[in-house]
Order: sequence, then C-alpha cells, then structure tokens
Amino acid sequence: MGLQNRLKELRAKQGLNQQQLGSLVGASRQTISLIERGDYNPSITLALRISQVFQVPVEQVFYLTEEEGK
Amino acid sequence: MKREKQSGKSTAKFLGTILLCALLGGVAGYCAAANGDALENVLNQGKMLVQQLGIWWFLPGFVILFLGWVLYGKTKKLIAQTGEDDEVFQRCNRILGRCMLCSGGATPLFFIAITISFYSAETQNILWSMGLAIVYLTLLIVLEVKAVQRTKFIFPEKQGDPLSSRFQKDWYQSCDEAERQKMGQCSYRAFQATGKGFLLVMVGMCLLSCFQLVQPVWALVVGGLWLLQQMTYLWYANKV
Repeated sequence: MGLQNRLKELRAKQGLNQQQLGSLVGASRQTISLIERGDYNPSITLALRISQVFQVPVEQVFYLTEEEGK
Repeated sequence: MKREKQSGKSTAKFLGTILLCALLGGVAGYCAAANGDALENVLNQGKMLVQQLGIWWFLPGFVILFLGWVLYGKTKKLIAQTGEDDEVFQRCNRILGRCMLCSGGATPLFFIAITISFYSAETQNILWSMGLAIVYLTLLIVLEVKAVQRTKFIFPEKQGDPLSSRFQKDWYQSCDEAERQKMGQCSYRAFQATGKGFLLVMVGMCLLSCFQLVQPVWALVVGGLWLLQQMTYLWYANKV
C-alpha cells in the first residue's frame, strides 16, 4: 500500500506557495516539497494540520493506493 | 519456513565471513612475521613521506574550500528567485548542501594538516604553517557563517547562530519532523561507517602490535573513541 496525496493540487487551488503552506502547518518548505513528491509520509499530526488548512477531511488530501509503498 | 531458511543462510554467511577473516588474519600475520623488517621499513618510509609533505597537507583542504566558495558564489543569483520559483529553491538548496559538505570536510582536513605540518616543521616552516592555518581558518569560518546565513534566508524558520556553541542544538530544535527523520537516517549512516572504520583500524593495529610496530597508546586513543561512539549510541537508545 502506498500513500498518495493531492497536496499540490489543493495548494494551487488555494493560491498558496510551499513556503506559505509550510508556515501555516509548522513545517519547512522543503518538507512540503518532499510530501508533494511522495518522498516523505507525514505524521498523523502534520497530515491533520494540512487537511485543516484546506478545510477538507484528511482522506481527501491523503489516500492509500494498491501500489507498493516507498 | 522462509524465515528459517533465511536465518540459516545468514548463519552460514556469518560463519563464512569469520572463517575468511581468520584465514586472512593468519596469512597477514604470517607475512608480517616473515617480513618483519621489511614491514618496519615500509612503515618508516610511510612516516617519512607523511612528514616530508609538511605544509602541503594544507592543499586538499584549500581545494575543498575553494570548491565550497565557488558553490556559495553560484547561489548568489539564485537566492533572489527562490521566493517565487520552487524549482530554483530546490536547486539553491542542493547547491548550499554541497557547499556545507565542503566546509564540513574542510574542518577535519584542517586539523590533519596543522598537526602534521607542526610536527614535521623546522623552525622556519612553522611560520609558514601558522600563516596558512590562519588564512585557512578564516576562509573556513567565513564560508560556514555565510552558507548558514544563506540557508536561513531560504528557510526563515531556522534558528541558531553559527558562531555560538549552542548552534547545533538551536538548529535541531527549529527543524520539523521530516528534517529530524533525515538527521536520524544520516546519523545512522555515520554510525555505521565509523563503526566499520574503527573495527578495521583496530584489527590492523592488533596485527601490527604483534611485532611492536604500533605504539600501545594508539590502541587507547582509537579504542577510546570507539567506546565513546558505542556507549553514546547505546546510552541514548536505552534512555529514549
């Protein structure tokens, strides 16, 4: 099971850049970039904070696929 | 079943490695015993060569520092565009990372150079060594401070003054979960690499000490450092 996300898409919709989103959720710009590229799986706390910013349930930002996880 | 098979394989591999090491150790010991004088000559020649190079030991460090400064210079144009462009931000971050790699490598090279050049210097060369050491250290400290300042520009949340003794602690505390995880992975790699290094050096010293070719104090120095590394790791592993 691999963790995928719609972070980039949702961020673009809200008109936020990586730095702004990072400041809102208490993460660095680099971490936002890593999550978007699928190179880092965020903790539950960070995932919930991100979904709060977009005001959507966490499953709409992060979801599992059948592919082998990294 | 699969797990048992794997475990059997690992045991066989472990025993094979032990036997191979014992065989190599035996051969190396025999060769050393048979050529004790020749080995001593080789070691003495090596020692002389190390000493003869004298102040030239500063050269690799200066080359690395030069590379570091070139990389730092490359970020000058990029830094202004990192605000809007994510690609440029990534590029700038990568270059700054390489720049820090250079300054990180230049620090141990400085101590190697200064120790050997002072040890082997005649009176007139000591002034040269001191002069080079001052220039080197200035270039190194300024590079580190500037690279950290530029990194803080693209990561405004980062804390810590590179000239303060609390720098590493403050920097770590300002890192988020992904960065801390990365630090953990890097520390593990460093632990693995140094652990292997200590083992190899200690085995080499054991062999050489059989023929009084190594001063016992080196076993205390290397062994002490190895002990410090192991105990620090295990202490914190059990504490957390």
